[in-house]
Amino acid sequence: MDLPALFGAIGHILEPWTFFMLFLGTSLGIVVGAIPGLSGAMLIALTLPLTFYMDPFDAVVLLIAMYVGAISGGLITATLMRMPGTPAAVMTTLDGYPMARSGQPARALGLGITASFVGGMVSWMVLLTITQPLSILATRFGPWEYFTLIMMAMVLIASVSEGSLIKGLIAGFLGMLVSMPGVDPSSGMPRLTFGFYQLNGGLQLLPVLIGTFAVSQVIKDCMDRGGVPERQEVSSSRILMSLSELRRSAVNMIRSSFIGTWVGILPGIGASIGSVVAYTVAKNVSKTPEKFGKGSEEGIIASEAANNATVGGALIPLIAMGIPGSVIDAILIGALMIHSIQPGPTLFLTNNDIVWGMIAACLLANILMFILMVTSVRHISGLIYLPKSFVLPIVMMFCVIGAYALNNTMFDVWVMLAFGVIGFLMERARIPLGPFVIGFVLAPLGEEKLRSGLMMTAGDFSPIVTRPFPLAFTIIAIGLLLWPFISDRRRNAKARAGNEG
Amino acid sequence: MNPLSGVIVLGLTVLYVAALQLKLAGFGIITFIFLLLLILGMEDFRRRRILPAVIVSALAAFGAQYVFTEIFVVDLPV
Repeated sequence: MDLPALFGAIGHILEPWTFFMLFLGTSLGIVVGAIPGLSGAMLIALTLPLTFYMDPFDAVVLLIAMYVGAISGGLITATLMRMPGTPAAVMTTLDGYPMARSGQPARALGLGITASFVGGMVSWMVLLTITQPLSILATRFGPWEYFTLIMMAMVLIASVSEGSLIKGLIAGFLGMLVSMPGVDPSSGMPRLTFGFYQLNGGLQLLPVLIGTFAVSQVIKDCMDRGGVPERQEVSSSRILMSLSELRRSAVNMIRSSFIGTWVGILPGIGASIGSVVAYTVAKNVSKTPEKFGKGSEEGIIASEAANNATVGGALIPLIAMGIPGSVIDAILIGALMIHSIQPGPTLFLTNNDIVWGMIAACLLANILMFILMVTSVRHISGLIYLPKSFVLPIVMMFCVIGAYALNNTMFDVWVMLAFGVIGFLMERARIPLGPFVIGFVLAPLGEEKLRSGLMMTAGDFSPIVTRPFPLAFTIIAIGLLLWPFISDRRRNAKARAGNEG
Repeated sequence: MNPLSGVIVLGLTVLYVAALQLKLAGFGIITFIFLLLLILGMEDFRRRRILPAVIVSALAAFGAQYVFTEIFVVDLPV
């Protein structure tokens, strides 16, 4: 652990301009996370074009702060409106809203804010301790190790994302397909460009991301505006938890934080599943499981500690191996590449300052998030009642500006619109967007590694089964692929046996 | 769920992007018209929403033009 580098990065962030970026990112993240229909992925994708001309360190601090803020802000809407501001806060609605309705909105928010802070701190400590050793291990990986790791990550993403495994796989394959147009990396010939010279460089990440996450969400929100929710006033008192409350909830908070961190580390899974797993575990071990879903303190704490913990966890594979731990991490990879920084195990060697900047930003943004949420949650909660009819058109305008700003070409804007429609249709068909985006980001890397590996072995695929890591990754991938079918068969067999009995 | 709203949003956005590509006017003016129509469309053209819609559209369109071109120095479509 390079503590001088960490303290150097903290010192850099505390300089006025960089600290302003941290403050701006965290507060914007909280506000956007709190407004239903706007998500952290959308905010970060729309902010990317603005970072082109920024110092890479400042850009990374801004984006990480947005990530931390957006995951935390979702709890405000989940608690006050029974509507998760971000998908990660969906489990918080189950207990946050009933507690708020029972006349304790400040207490519900206070529990969520404290749990978010603890979750963020625990995952940050894990990020600090294991990222560098993991990246050292990853530097020993050759192309076959990388290729099989990417394949395993793709299967994992597809198998645990929302909906069925088949739909997850379809989404992943579609993402891979969309990454194919452009110049073939080994032959140098254009492929799947359909005569459009603009496609020679492939489909750009930013228009695809903005279309898939922002435009599709705007279309969806415009179709489903709903009524104005009943307003709930939040008092300043009871936001902070007392020491005795903290002691009582410590085990649940720390356990949920570790669950969130672990789920975050697994590639492409993200905060929603982290909070679901932690909530389920908390309910199973609780002495009062009957209170879950009716305003349980334990439920709010488990969900919020876990979803914030996924942020630090998800940064671990990104920094150590260049593999995104969540959709937002896929966008962060895009941000690094825009600044000519190649994510991967050599990042510690090539861009040590950026890596420690990311780690330090994660810590400071978490602390700032806690301070901002405790002091201003009353005012932020007023923003969630902004009329969507005024917010969504402005978001659409930012989408157009964001897509255009990448290369100053209208072609990218049309690509963004096309992916907006594709993303919307995929969501209507309940095909998850996460595997699609991660397939899109990972496929070129997977292709590059596969081709390098085949060149090294003269077309021989046998290293997949003769080397230990590739073999382990392949077995895990096959296991993940088959497990849903096996468990389905076992469940059906059990049900049949039960009926016969 | 109102599918018509989705069609209106998408249709207006396509027209907005086409207007920008054809350079029918400056970014601020085209964006102002787009925002105004979209906000009013989503508000079912209620009379008491016209003034707030005009103010918000003007602030957003011309504000964004100023901020992006003068502060962030990012090129805009027109």
